[in-house]
Amino acid sequence: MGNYMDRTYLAIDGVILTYSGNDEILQIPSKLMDMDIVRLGDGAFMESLIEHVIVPEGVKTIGRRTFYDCPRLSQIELPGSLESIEFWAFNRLPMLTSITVNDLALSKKQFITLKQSGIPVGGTKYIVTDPSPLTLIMQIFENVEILPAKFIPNTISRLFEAPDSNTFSESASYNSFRFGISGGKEQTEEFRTAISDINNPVDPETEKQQDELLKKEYRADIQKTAIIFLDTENYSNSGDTYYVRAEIRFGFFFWQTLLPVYHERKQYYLYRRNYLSRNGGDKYLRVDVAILNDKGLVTNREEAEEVYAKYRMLSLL
Amino acid sequence: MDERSLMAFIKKILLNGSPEKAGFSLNQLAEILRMQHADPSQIKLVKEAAESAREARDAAAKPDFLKQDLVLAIRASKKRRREEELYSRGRC
Repeated sequence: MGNYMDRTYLAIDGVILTYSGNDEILQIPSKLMDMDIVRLGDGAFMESLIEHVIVPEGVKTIGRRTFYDCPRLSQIELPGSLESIEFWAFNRLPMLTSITVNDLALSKKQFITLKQSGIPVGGTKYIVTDPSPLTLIMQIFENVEILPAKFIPNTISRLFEAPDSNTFSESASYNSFRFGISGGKEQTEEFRTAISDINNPVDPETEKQQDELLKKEYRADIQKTAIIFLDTENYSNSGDTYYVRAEIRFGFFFWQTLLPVYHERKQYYLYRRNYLSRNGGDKYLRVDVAILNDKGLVTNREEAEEVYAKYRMLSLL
Repeated sequence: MDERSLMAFIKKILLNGSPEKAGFSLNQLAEILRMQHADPSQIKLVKEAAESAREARDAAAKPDFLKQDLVLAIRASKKRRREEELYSRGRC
């Protein structure tokens, strides 16, 4: 692909290695000479004095610490082409107030991960213009504002099937389901925690107190941020349980809510398990929604999809 | 990549910001070279420059920054780090 060097940029094979400019508002070029820029390299814009950066369409990855320690950076615009953001890409940005993601040309598989991106606490406002089918894993901090209606996914590619697990079982009562999940150690531990609470549904008063505690501690509106995206990548197809997962990095807590939905004269329960857990130092909120009838989990996919569509329409989240 | 271009790139990276920043960018450069199946000696040079950014920056500030200057800086850095390690272990 080639090399490029001028006073401002050094780039090789589509990767910007360094930026030496003094711009306050920086529109990063999508091309340097004939070279398409696809990656902002590790540390490339680190310590710069930019205040507002626009990452161009075509960039797929933002590397580690790319915008680390930019003392004046307050606004970031990210393109729809972005697929991943690496460790601490946005760490130590004391002035950061907004990140805008533009959904311009997404495929179902594209997603943005702000996992471990290190976006700092304090005044960060996330504005996602049209996330579906965008999948985001975000760290939520105070003053987060996310427009609720836009974040109910319009294109759920599929309902997730629970991974094969020998701890999965169901009983006649909706409040005594146990979920098991195979996967990484952290996931197993989280679900062990989750399992114990599933068998002890929270009463409305306790749930209200937990809500208040969450809101006070993390200052975010759980209801609005409950579903931002679908994590379609992390679980294998097996088992008979259908549920939709949405994941937001958030904090450390755990509670659950049961929402009734009526569909075609039948009553269903949307079992929403929200829990916040700390995974290797990162915090996240995960929301699982299981669709249940009076006999237990709905495992008929078509039925589950219909009920979920109904509950989405009712904006019960 | 030819040696002259490589040294020009390393110099620009070293002189653009802190040693920490230079380290990240040089490691990124090493990764790109690896993906290009570049000469292993070039990759090694860049990686060692990343670890030795503090001394290498001083060398890069000179008008004629050649490979041997970088190699000397890397050696000096290794020596300093060895001494620091010994000191921290209380043997100095």
